[in-house]
Amino acid sequence: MKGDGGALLRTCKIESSSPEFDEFLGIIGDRIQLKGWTGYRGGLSNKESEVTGKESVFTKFDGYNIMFHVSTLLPYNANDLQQLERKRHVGNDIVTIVFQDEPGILFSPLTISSHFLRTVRAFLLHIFDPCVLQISLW
Amino acid sequence: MQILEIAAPQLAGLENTLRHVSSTSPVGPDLAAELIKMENEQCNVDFKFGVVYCKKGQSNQDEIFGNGACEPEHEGGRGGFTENL
Repeated sequence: MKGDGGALLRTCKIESSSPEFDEFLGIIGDRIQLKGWTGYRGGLSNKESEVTGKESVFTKFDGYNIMFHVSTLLPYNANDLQQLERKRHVGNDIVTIVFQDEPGILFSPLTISSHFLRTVRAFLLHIFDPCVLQISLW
Repeated sequence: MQILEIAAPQLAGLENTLRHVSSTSPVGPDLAAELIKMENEQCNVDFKFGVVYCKKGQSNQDEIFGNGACEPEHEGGRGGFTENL
């Protein structure tokens, strides 16, 4: 039963955020465990009592510490339609990357309401396309 | 300190930090550590960026922030789900 549950959960995980998105996260940084994390936290907590998710994505680039607030890795609250636990981090970032799973409608930077957000970058990942990463800039 | 003010007025903000450094550790191994700490405080090397996952056809922020509800790391979202298996 436990094994089946795991398989189902994995499927659910794939449905909720695609392998392409995971691949993209792998490109921009490393998965880190927040518990006991001693590096730059970017407002996330490394204590078990304050839950800001178990994992996050972090990278060091050219001497800079970069912490990514990944919406799907931040805590999900089934009772909160707005998902404020996620929004309070992403909404306070100046730069946000929008990963669009499939090129559908063009993402509008006005979609996310924030007083801080200044730049939105949208990434479209086409796995069957020779041009792997298409970047749209505003 | 006055020389610094005349020579480099743009560093006026550093004055207090420098005083702090010189008063807490005039000489000794701590000085190097204090200087590194001071330098880190003056230069911002830490950045945070948001990453949101947007599925096809999603144009509402509540939908987008609700993505990834079933990730194993989110115990809250999975509690009722596993019991039904």
